[in-house]
Amino acid sequence: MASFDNLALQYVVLEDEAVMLGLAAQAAKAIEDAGASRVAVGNWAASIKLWIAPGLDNRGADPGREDGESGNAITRSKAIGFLAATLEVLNKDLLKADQVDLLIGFFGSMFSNDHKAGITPAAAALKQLATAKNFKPQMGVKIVEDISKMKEDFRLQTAATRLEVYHLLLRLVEDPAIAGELQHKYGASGGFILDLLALCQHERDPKNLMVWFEIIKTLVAEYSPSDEVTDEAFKAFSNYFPITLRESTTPIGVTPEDLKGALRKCFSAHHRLARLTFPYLIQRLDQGDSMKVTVKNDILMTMKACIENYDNTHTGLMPFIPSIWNSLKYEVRNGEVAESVQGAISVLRAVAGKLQDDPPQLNEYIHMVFRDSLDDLSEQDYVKQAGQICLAVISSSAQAFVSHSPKLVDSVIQKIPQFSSATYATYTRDLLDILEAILKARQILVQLHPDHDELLAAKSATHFQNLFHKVFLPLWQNYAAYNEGPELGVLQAITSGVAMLVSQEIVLADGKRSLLCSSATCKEICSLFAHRLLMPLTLSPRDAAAMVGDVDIGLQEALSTVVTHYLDGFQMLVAATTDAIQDRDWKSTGKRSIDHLWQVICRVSFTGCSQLPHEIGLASAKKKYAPLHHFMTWSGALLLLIESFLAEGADGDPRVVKLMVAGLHHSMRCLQDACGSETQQVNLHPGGEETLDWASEMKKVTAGAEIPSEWLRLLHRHHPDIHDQVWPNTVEDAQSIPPSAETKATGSSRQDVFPDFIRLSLFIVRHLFRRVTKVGHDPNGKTVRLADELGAYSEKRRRAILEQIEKMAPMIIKTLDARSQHFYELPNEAFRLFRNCNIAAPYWSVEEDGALNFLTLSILHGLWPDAMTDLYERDGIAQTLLCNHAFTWSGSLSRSQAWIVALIANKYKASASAFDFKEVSQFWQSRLEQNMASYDTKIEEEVGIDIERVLSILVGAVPRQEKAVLPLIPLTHKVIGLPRMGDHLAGEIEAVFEENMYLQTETHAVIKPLYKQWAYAHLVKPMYALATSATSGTALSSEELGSSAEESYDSEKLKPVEHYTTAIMSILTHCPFAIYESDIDPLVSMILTVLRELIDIYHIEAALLLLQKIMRNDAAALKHHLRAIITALKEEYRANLEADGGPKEPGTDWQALYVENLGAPVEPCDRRYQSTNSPRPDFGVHTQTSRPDPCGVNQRTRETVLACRKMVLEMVGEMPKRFEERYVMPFKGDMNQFLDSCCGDPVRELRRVAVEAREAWFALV
Amino acid sequence: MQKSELDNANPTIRDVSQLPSRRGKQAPVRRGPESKYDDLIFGKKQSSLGTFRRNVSSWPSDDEDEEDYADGFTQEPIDEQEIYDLISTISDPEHPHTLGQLSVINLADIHITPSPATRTAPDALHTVLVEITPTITHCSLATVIGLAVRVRLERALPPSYRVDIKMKEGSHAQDDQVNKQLADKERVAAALENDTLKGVIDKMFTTCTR
Repeated sequence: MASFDNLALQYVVLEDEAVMLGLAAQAAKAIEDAGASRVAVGNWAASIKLWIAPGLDNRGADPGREDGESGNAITRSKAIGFLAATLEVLNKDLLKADQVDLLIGFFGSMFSNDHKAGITPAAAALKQLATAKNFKPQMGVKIVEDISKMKEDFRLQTAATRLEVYHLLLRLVEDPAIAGELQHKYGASGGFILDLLALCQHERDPKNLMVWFEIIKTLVAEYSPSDEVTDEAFKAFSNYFPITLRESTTPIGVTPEDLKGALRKCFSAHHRLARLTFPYLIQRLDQGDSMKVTVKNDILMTMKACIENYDNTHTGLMPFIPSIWNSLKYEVRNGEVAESVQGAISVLRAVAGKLQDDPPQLNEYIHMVFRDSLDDLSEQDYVKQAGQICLAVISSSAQAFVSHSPKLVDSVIQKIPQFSSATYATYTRDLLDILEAILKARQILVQLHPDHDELLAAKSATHFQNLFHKVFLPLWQNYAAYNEGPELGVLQAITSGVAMLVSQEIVLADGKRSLLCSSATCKEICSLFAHRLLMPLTLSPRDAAAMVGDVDIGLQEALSTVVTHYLDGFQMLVAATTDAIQDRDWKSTGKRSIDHLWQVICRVSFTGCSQLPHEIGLASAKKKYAPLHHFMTWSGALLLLIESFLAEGADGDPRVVKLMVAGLHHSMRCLQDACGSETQQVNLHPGGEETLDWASEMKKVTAGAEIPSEWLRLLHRHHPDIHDQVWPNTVEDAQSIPPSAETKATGSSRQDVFPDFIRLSLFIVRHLFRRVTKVGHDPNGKTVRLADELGAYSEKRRRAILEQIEKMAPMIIKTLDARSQHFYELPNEAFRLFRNCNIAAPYWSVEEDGALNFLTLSILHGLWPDAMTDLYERDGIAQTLLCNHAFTWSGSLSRSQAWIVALIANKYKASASAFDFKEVSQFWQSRLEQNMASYDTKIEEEVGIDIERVLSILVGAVPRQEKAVLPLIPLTHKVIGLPRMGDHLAGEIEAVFEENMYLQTETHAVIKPLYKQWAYAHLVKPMYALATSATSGTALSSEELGSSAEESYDSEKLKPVEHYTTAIMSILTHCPFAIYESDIDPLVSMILTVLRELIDIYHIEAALLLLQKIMRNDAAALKHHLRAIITALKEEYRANLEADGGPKEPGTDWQALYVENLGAPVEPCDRRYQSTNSPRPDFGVHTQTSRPDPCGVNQRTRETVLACRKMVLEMVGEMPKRFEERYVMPFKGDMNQFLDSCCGDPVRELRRVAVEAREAWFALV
Repeated sequence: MQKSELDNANPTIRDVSQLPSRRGKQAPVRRGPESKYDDLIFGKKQSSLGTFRRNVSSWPSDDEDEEDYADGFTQEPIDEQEIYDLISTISDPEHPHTLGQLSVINLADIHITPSPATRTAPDALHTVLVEITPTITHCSLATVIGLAVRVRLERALPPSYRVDIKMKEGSHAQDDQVNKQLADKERVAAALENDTLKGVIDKMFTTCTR
């Protein structure tokens, strides 16, 4: 006994909840140990008498003891809490019935005796007792009664206390046994409910309301209250409607939506509420426009919940349908807020849905809706709404749709004006939209009820079958001539409507699924749309150009849907396209015709390949089609077209061939997206020792399905061995397709199609590679040469075709995993180009202008490093290429070689059989050291071999952070310092940091995340010292630079030390600010020097970009250089303007004003300003163009000139915002003057920036 | 300047999309869904690697494939539309609408001499005449509007442009007086010394940022 007293005392005194719970656990254990004997339980209960007795005795006895009383209340509460906490952990099954009864009596008395301290712990304790084994329903009734005794005192309790009581109540009323006992005792009068409603009527706390609403819902739904009690309950919760919640900064765990949902459950608790709910909600809804949208939506959602949840439709819904309809039809007809209109429509749909088990009532309801709505279909203003309502009620169930859709469709068709008219175009479109929505509803219902015989029966869909000829076709003919305006909307509605029509399915009498439209109709549709799709080719270029509106009518999307359901349609389209292309005379066609050709190729490609054939299309087709059929058909047609154009030799148009290749690429992209497998890797390695056999690869792709005739012709002509193996088996295979192939042909998932797509695409790549090459016989053996047909084209056109192939192949190759790439021997094919020939040094194509290097590059681009291990064997291909200075000297084509080297340097992986990358480094190190002295005297091209190769190796190896290349970096610095050659490398070194298309992680290049930081430390940092050495006298001497030649650069060329500045600037434009953040000081002075002295506009652009980056990231670092920066920017603007054809001499006073500088004088010896009064004569080497240009500079240069000017203005405009006022204020007057003149810039966009800049300075006060 | 009652409580307001704009004159380039891969297929972005500087001039130029020059950077003289764009976005001092929306500023009432169509030396003197149409003939804020237009143009145009602001003939009961006031440099300068007036004008310019 003493122990219980002690535990209770400690519990009351302590504050630590964990310890307190421990004490309660000890007490519970003591009771359990004693087998819940009377003595033990008695002692446990008596342990709190110390706090109970005085409190109860003194309650209200002495008003002067208020403080003491409140103190007592707290301890008393804790003492009772001790009992509650003990009960929580106690095994309640041990308590005997009389003990439970006694305890309930004790705690229940708290509700009437101790309002201050006892209620919370008592409620908690009672909640525990209610779970006891010996708890009797009568006890529950007693608790409910005890709670009701609190009356007015209940609302004076804290919210937390009330919440505890609500939880207790909810637990009790949800107990079916207690519910039975309560109903037995109180009968239909439900007096206790009234007591509870009275007790809780003032509740305002959101958390408590959530529980209270749940209690009310249970009382109304589970009990059978009399009408009077129901009325009271309805009153109690409807008073809260519409419920909102004041926004609070502290989260309370309840959202307004939670409250709305809980209250909605009260409304929809039971159909006995219907007589109150519907009139109440309708009356609220009819209050008018003053209602908030959220309230209106709440009403509609509540109404919908009631309709859906009330069980008895006869009493719970039918009597109210007319009033619901009358109220909501107004809402839909005249509603302005889309959300409310949709809400009202969903209520009307819910009514129909609820009536679906009562067909006569449903029909009556639909007739009522039709009676009021069908006439509205004639009204332009109400047609949309009428259509929505009618569709909503008939689409609620399959049966309703079957019975009533014919009438709706007929009504819509009758209203469609059968003539083209701008006035009625929108109206016509609305009606067509309704038709499409009806078709869409049918499609959804078919998906939901795939076994609904009546819905799928052909006879139930006869009213749809003639839609094309009766509605769509005549309208199309009426509107087809329009290219713009609202009439395009009609065409758009026709295309999407027809697509929806074609995708409808039915079940034939023999149980086979089929398309709703007949083959003849589908054929007609395809022919109609194909005719329109091909118009860019069939019309004259001028007429075709006028068809700008075709994008808006959604022809491609519609036709795409059509041909995925009616598979024969695509074959027709491809045949028509091929004919149209071949019928055209492509010789001497202009750019516009070429554009139209591309337009058509893209459209056909999109039509056939952007979606995989639909299941119903495959199942209902007469032939057995593979999922890749459309892609095969189109790619086969394109390959045949390429053949026919190549066959024309020099007379053919290589631009068309290029577009055909691009078309293949386009179709591959479309299909890849359709498969949804853009980033997926596929394993096509068959496993085991199987060797590559292209015939079996092709058989896997076709899998016994129909092979498009285009492919058969192609294989027959170019791959007869494969043709012979694939073709004879087709018939047999078709008859005995293994189960897996059956699945593949009919119900294959997107993932299954993807490997076959890659297989086929790889074959296409292989075919193209072989087609543009031939095997030549050299003294060394068989080598790959450029095909004669391509050799007939000019270098420019030939290059365009090869580059197009180069862009296509990596997309396919990169999706193969390393094992599969190895299986297809792709690393070797990179140098063999899918030809049976020798792979011999120098490995790449040094003949025919090196054109074939594009193909090599193309394969290497997509390879995994793991697949390339054979290439890196000692003295193997990679080592030879990396340590080789043979080069093709044909202008631009050196680019492919440079990237081949870079890719090989990048994808190197050290292994036991691989060479050591240090060897490469050492080779070039010794070569550079040996030749450095002669670099400035040799002709540039010869030197370029070495420099370009070293640069390529750096570009590839640096992203991999290859330490072996570090010894090459000081040599690179030396080359940059060369007086004659250095500036070339200085301008190109940025390639190491520049984003490029070849070194991308998605094509498996090795790129370390922090490589730029690494490279900055090794490559850029040392150049700062070299760049500033001009003033500090530490420049590398000409001996050090390895140059014995005389200083051959003139005033227009850069000084060697300036090469470093150029290199740094160009590199940093590709680096994030954080990398060079610590070197801002030397950078700023370097930038100012560049702006002051350099003559190359690209260097100036880099400097400005860098300055802008610094200003935007860390303007404070520039505050002390502001005067110099402003002077330099103004000078740059002025010189730039002159170079752009602006005023050659400051002709007026105002111009003279801004030429003058404020503080810092411009150096008179500045090279750029030696000819101040004439336009900048030269923009460096880039101006060596043969293209005439009115401004004397080529287009790209002019773009750069303007970009520089814009950057100057932007920077000037940002200054007031970036710098503290005290730093910029001194320049205000001058800047105003300067910007005044800039507002007259010849370029409008720059004037706009200038005006903004001027406003920014003007705002400075 | 705070007025308890509005001069014109119910002015006609034009929708922003109906106002004259340069954008409307350029048909937007519409592209179908099939053209989304064009950049991937014909991507022209090339690195400088491998184009060692000496080769730049010999890089074959594929004329037909070259994109047209970016439109934003063509040389165009200041024209009426540009002036309209500058001033039509000024807010009305008493309505929450711009002068363009209220038709106080109209494109047809902006005149530049010599006309922008004629080629002139970049520094040749130009005169911009803007005729303002107050929403009502007795508008007491016409001077403030005129002043704002003048200030806006003086700040946004180069010094070789003279600005002339007038009430459109017959549009204001006291147009002579208002015109005189707006043409008087001394009075304009003095008005801008007035902090209250300056505050009003600054507020009118808050909608001018483009």
